[in-house]
Amino acid sequence: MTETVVQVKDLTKRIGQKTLVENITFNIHKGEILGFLGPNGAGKTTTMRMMLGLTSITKGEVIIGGHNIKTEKEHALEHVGGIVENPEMYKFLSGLDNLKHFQRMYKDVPDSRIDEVVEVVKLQDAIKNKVKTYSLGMRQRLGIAQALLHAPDVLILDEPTNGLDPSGIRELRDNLRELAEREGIAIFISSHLLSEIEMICDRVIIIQKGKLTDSQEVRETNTEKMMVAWETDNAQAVLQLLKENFSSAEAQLEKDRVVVGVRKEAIPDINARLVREGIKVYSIEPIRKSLEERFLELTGGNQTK
Amino acid sequence: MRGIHLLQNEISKIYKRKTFWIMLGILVAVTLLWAIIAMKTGSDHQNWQQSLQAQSQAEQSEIAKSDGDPEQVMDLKQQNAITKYRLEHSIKPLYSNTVMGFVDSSAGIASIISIFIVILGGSIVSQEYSWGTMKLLLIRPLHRWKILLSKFVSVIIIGIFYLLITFILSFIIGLIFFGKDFGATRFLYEHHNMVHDVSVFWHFLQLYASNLVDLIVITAFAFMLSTLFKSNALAIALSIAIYFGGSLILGIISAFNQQIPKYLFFFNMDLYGQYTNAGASPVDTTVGFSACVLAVYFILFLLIAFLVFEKRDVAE
Repeated sequence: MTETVVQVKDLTKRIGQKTLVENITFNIHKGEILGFLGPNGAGKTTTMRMMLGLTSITKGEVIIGGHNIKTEKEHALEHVGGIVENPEMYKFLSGLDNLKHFQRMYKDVPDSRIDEVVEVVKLQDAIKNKVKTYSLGMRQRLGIAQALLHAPDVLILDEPTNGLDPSGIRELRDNLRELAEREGIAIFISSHLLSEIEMICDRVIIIQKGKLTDSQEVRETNTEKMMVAWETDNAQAVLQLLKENFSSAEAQLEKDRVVVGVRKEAIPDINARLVREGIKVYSIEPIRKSLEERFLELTGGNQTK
Repeated sequence: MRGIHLLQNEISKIYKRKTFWIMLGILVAVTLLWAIIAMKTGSDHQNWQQSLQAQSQAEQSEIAKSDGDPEQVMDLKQQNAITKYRLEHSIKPLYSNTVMGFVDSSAGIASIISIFIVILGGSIVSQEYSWGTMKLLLIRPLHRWKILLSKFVSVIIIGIFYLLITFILSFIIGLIFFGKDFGATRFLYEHHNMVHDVSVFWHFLQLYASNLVDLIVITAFAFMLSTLFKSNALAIALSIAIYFGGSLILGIISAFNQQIPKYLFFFNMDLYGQYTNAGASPVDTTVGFSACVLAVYFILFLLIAFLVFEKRDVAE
C-alpha cells in the first residue's frame, strides 16, 4: 500500500467570473515523482500556489501530511518545500546566508542540515559567493536546497527547467531522481514540455483549461500495467498463445509486432513461454508513446510556448 | 524564539545592503557639516548676560507698544518670562557653539532620519515582491502576520539605531569642536504661564523620544501604503510629502473647517516641541489628546496593513 503524502480534492479557484482551476483531484504518494503537465495558462501555477497557501482556495481541499492547508496552514507547510516559478533568492546575500535566512524560519533545522543540502545540490564550492554571481542552473539548485532544508515529505516545483540549458536540465533531473530515491521524498513537478517531464516522472497528470484531463503512468512499477512490444518471427502465434495462457494481457497486432498490456513481473514469464514454444524473440520494448500522442492530441500539438 | 530569528533576518537584509551604510554616512557627514556651520556662524557669548538684558528690555517695550494681536503679546510675554528667569538664576541659553547647544541643535537631524526610515519602511514589503522572494517567505510554517510584524519592528529598530548614533555622534563632535565651552546644563521652557527649569539631559531624552514617536507613526503610514500598493515609490513619496508638506495641507483644510485638522495625525506630531516651545502650542489640544490621536492612527495604519497582507493572494 503506497502512503499518500498530499491529497488534493475538488480544488477550484475562481476570480470573479473566471474559473482558473476546476475540481482538480489527485494524490501524491510517498517517494514518487509526479509530473504536472499542461500548456501555459492551463492553471498549473495557480494549483501549486493554492497547494502552498500562497493563494486562497475557492472550493475544495488540499491536505498535506494530514493537515488542511486552509485551516492548519502552518502545520501543513512544515511538510512541504517549494519553488514557485523562478528560483529568486536574495542576490546581495551569499548562497549560505540565503540558506541561513530560511533556516531561521523553521523551528529546528540544525546547522548540519545546511551542509547536507548544499552537498545534495552540489554547491559546496560556490556557497560562500553572492547569489548575483550564480548562473541560472546554480540558482535553481540553491532553490532546491532551500526547499529541502526542513526535510519535507514533498517538494513542489513549478517549471524548474525553465531557462535551463540541456546540460542544466540533465543535472536537475539526476538531482531530483537521486532525491526521490535517497530521501524518499515525493516530488510534484510542473512543466509545459512533455519531453522534460517524461524523463523524470513516475506518473504524469495532465491539466488543460483548468481541468485534469488525464493521468498516466510513465515509469513502470511492478504492480502497474505497461505497454510492451514483442518483435518475433511469428506474431500470429504469439497472439494466440497470449490469448490462451495470459488472458489478463491485452494483446494486439501492430505492424509485425505484438503490443501487450501487462504487468512488469509478467514479462519474464511470457518470454519464457514464448521461447519454450520455439518462437524467436528479437526484441522486447516498453512503449511510452501513448502519453506523447495523448498530450499532443489534448494540446493541439502546441507544446512549445 | 522564532520571533527573534525573524527580526535577525529582516535586520540582516537591511544592513547587508549599501543603502544602510550610505544613510549612515550621510548622517555622519551632516552632523559634521552642522558643527562647521555652528562654528562659523556662532557668536561670541562671553557677555551673554548683557545681551540678554538688552533683549529683555526690547521685549518689554515691544509688549508695551503692541496693541494688536493678543496671541503675539502672549508669545512675547512668555519669551520675556524666560529671559528674566535666565537673568535671575544665571542660566545661559543653549548656544549652538557649545557642546550642549550643539547636541540640542543636531536633534533637528532627526528629520533626515525620518526620511531614511520612511524609505526603508516604504520598501521593506514591496521590495520582496519585486525581488520575487515574497513567496519564499510565505511558504514557511509561520503566520503571515509574524513576518509582517518582524519587518515593521526591524525598521523601527534601525530608526532607533540611527537616532542613537546621531545623539552620540553629536555629543562626540560637540566635544571635539567646542570642548572648551560645555554650555548650559539647564533647559528652560514656558508652559501654562510657568517657567519650567529642567536638566538639559531630561530635555534631550524627551526631544529624542518625541522624534521617535513621529518616526514610528510616519513609518507606519509608509509601511501601510507599501503593503497596500506593493509600490515603494508611491509609499515613500506620499509619506515624505505629508511629513514635510503637512502644514500646507492643514492650512488648506482649516480654511474650510477649523475642527478637522486637530484630528489629523500630522497635526499632532512633534509632541514635545508643540507643547514646550513658547508660542508654538496649539490652542485647544493637550499632549494627551495628541498622543491619543497618534496612537489611534498608528493602530489603524498597522491594522489595515496586516488585514490586507493576511488575505492577499500572492501571484506575481
